Amino acid sequence: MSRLWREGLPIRMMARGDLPAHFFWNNQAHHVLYISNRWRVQTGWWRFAIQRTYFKLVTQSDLVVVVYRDETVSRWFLAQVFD
Amino acid sequence: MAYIELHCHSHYSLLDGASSPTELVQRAAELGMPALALTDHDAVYGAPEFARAARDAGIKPIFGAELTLHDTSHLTLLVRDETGWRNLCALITAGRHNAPKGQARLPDDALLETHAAGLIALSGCRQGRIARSLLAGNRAAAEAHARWFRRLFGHDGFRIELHNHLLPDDRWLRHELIALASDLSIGCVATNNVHYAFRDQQRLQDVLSCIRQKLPLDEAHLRSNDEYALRSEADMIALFADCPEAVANTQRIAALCDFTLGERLQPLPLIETPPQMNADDYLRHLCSSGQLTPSEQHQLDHELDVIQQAGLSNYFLVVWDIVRFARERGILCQGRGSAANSFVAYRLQISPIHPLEHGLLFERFLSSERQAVPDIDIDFDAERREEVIQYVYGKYGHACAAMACTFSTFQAKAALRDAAKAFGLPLEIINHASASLDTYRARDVEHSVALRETLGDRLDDPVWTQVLELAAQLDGAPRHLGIHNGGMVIHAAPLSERVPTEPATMTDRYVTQWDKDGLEDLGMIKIDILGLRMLSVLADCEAIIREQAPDFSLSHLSFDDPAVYAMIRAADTVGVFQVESHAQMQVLPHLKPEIFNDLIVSISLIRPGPVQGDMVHPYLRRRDGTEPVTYLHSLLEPALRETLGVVLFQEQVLKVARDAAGFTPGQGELLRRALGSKNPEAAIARFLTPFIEGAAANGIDEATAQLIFDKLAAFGGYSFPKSHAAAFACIVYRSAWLKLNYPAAFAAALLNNQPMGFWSPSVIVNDAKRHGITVQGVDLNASAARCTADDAARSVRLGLNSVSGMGSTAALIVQKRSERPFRDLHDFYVRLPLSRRLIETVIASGAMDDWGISRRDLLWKLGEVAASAGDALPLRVESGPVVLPALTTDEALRMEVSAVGLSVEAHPLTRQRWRLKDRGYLSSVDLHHTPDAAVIRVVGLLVMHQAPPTAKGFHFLTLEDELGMMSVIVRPKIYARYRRVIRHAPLLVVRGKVQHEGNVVNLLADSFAGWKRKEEVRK
Repeated sequence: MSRLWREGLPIRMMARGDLPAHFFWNNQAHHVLYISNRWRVQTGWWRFAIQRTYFKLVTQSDLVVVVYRDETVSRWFLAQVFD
Repeated sequence: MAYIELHCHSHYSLLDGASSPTELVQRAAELGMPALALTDHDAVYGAPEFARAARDAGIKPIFGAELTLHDTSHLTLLVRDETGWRNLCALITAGRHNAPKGQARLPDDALLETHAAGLIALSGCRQGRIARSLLAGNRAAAEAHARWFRRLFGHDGFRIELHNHLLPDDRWLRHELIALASDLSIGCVATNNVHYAFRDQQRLQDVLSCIRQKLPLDEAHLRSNDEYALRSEADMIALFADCPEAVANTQRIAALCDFTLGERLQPLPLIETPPQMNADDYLRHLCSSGQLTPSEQHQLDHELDVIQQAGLSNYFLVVWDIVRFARERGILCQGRGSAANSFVAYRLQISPIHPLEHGLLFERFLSSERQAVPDIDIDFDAERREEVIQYVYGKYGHACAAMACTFSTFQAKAALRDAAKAFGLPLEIINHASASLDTYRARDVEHSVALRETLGDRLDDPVWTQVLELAAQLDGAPRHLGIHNGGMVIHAAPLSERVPTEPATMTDRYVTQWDKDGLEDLGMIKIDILGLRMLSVLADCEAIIREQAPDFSLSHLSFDDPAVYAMIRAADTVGVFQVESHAQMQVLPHLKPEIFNDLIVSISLIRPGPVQGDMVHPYLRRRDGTEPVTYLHSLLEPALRETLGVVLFQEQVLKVARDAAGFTPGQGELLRRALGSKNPEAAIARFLTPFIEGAAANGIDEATAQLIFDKLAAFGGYSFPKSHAAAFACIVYRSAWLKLNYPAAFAAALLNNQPMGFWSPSVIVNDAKRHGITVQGVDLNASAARCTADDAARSVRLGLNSVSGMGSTAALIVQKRSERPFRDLHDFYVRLPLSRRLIETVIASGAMDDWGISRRDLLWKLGEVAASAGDALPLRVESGPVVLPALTTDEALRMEVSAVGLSVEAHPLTRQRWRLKDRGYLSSVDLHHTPDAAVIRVVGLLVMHQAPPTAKGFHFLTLEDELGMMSVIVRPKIYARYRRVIRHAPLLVVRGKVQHEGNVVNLLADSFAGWKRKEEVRK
């Protein structure tokens, strides 16, 4: 069963350059095996700017997740976990 | 390897592109692209600007468009060669003619099949057939489409287009497209479907999308990020790491595109000539009838030689044919502009000016050295211009004749309104803000003082800050397409072989996709068929005069009646063509015109250019004799004697260059054009050395030659074509003659041809009254549809057309009335199907006053009449008598003004004059007898308010009282202090200092107040 966080769940992410490398969630460290997709959203500038870079990741622990980096606050968030 | 962008939209994708072609080219050059494609939606509007910008930037332009096919899918097309260009134009034309104005859609695929040669097709964006099919899960359809396109355009002419805008499904779609391409052995190419030059233009692009969709930002469908900018090669390589050859292929495709949008004259339809004569022979024949003096013959031979060498004989015949058609039908017309320099134009009766008699230069119009096509502009009676346009369409067909387009660009009000709507601001606030704007250019909106006063601190709100910033960025962007005011392009073959055409809003009107500048840049000749309302006025006056004198014609007038010049010298010129403006009225008493040539000088002198270039006062001082007439060198005297040593006419630039430095007239014209260019310093630099050297050969030392060149540089840019001024001076004289000799007919004709001229109908009526003309108001049973005049009785009767909202109903009323006059309101109501609102306006105008019932009573009665007329039974129901208060004179006056825009009754100040005099206010007549520097007060209606950009913040007002007009000068600080009063008070009180300058008197204002009846508000 997948889980979705509409507002995003803040997470700690170790990045390699701009790319996610490993992150911490549910008291576990998850290493990124590969990035299967990447996309950007930049909109809402007239009210509350949304500037996010999304990544769909597969981890070494066999999780498929979507994370994003919020460029306005330079923080990482977990958006969705697929089972 | 270099990446080249092959799918790029400019702001000529109307409301779907944020950058001009020039901005895109410059950005591409910065990014190191050796070439760039321009592919606007179903259009090549931007091609001329694109070609020019690419040439200047040293990159290769690739022409194309993104076409909308019959199933609304998109296809990117690039031009390989001349055949491809013709096919692209034909496809765009077909798509545009097949859809409502502003849209395009090819009628079917068959057209694509027959017009694929010379084009390279890219499969397009997500709206392309292949991507659309894949996104819908239909791979089979995608494959079928891809096979079809490949068959159509050839293996070499079709590519699968790949994008990477970092959308969630971009990677998936790209892989599907790559797989399809691989299966079918079709090449791939990467593009970025560019919609702006820089990332930070995403906001502007979003606002344009909102304007296009008519939705605010919160609701509009917008692209989800800013990835649609021009990208560098490094960026594209990173984005297409999964398909690097797609990036490299851009260069291979660019190399296949080898089309230059060259400058060349279009083939014109051949005018039928007599047997054994070609166009050259026929032109000579038409010009040679009658006796010519030796100098005329010499000039004619020279001009015909140049015309023939330029291959323009047929062009002159085409224009001659149009003018011949007009004259045969009694449509007043005359050429204007540089064509009046041509003796051939004069002999063909295109131009009214004999160029040799006025020292004009043919080379100003056409020369073997000048690399530009001549334009012939002709003014026609505005009321009958449509007959001429339809003649051209009828003779050449809609496929071969079209008007030039024009682009309506965002100005301040539209930019502010559209930007504010995009942000979802309330309409009342938007209306309030835009109504208060006192700037014209969108880029000045952010600095509008009036807006700041209206909205106050609200402007510091983040929303308003963004609104103003984006409104300013809309400056200069095209908003929609319109029709140029008269420029017609005629082509021997269908125009769509050279440039696409599309329908305009007017029925049966088609426009080219290039505006007049684009057409000129690319060497296409057009004929300007212009409507001039003053010619309509002259035609109307001729018709009135011919009722008594059937042989009368304005063309019989010689330009030498001293009484006409006396009237002009006195600045009694309300309504007179070109010399009625405030500025003209200020200068005419100084200039003191006495002969025709003085009118030419007046037209050329009183313009922003000469004012800015400080030419006006030196000329006037020399004319007055207060400054000596000098020449920098005696060789300049022949050229400048007529303007007292001042360079005023463009022709004089050529003559000075010829006489001082031995330039040929053609070289002089090139110098003249350089002086008038956007960047004159750079443009004229190459002429300096030849000028100095040529002057030296004529015995002029270097220092003097430099001075002469500097003078030309200073004034040449502001000079005016004497030929144009001379052609206009004919109309100036004729209109002045009519005002002097047939003032009633002239006033009626001016009123019948509004809007026109400098002054409002109210000022025209008051001026006529001051000249002893009785102006009678609208009368339901006496007025014609239009204003009428009786010069013998010195009276004018306002027409029914003077009533606001009347339009063509005036003719209907007259027609009904011819059966029998209207007896009363009920009779009028039941005999005509008019709206209640219009009948109320007719009542308010005073048109029914003759029945002896007050307007208020009539308005009341209208309710009863409307109620009883709506009854099924033919009953007239009359209610009991209702006593309504009588209308005061002021109320009646206000009613009339609201219905007609003016009042034929006494001026509002007539009845106030005794009170004004009591309190020490002077009248317009008193001003002339008041000593210089006296401080006085006046009251008047504000009838004109000017703030020319060249005036450094000064404002010029014209106030009108019952006796005449007063000129008021307002310094910037005074205007800032009293702006609200000046803009809103109907009657203004002005306190200021009298300034006499020769015969001209002005009031230099110190303070303003609004005049209220019975009491005055003191400031």
